[in-house]
Amino acid sequence: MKLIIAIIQDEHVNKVIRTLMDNKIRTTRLSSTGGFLKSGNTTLLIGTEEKEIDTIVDLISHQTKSKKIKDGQEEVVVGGANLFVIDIFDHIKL
Amino acid sequence: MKLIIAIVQDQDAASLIEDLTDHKYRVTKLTSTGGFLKAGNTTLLVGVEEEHIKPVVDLIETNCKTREITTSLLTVTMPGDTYIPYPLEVKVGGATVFILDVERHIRI
Repeated sequence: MKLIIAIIQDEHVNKVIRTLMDNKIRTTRLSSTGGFLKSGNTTLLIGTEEKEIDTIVDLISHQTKSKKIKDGQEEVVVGGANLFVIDIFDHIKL
Repeated sequence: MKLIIAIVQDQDAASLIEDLTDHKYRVTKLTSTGGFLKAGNTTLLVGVEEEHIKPVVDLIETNCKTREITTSLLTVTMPGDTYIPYPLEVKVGGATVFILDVERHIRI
């Protein structure tokens, strides 16, 4: 069992959630703020089995794209989505 | 790859985020509420490689360590009476840090 913590820019998040819902993938949505862009983004908590991770990554990558922003002199690429896959010790559904 | 989850006080969060972005660390800020004090606080997610854990924790410490400040407690005795500011030592700041192991990090 894994937990995917996906940090997604706000402009893509509605499409991402709709596609996840269409594919019966449950997600919890937390509103958050980015460090660099200081703009709002959204953190999604998605609990899944190991084998589903790649399909979820594909679903999300179809809906988001990264963009370049100017930070002082050099350019910083800010990903449309940033995913951390974390191992889960136990998962209990009550 | 590790994910640092830092729960800090609201008043320290702004300076900490500024510090982290100056050092090119990506951070995500979640607003959260403390269980014990029921006071609002801030949860930060910072994804870093193993060797960057120490510098990030040092940054957190310099910005958020528990410290004593003196505030004044305005004593109101009688209407029309003057407010007598009463100096008070108060503990503020502090941070709780969880470091999680990240199996895969995907940036799209």
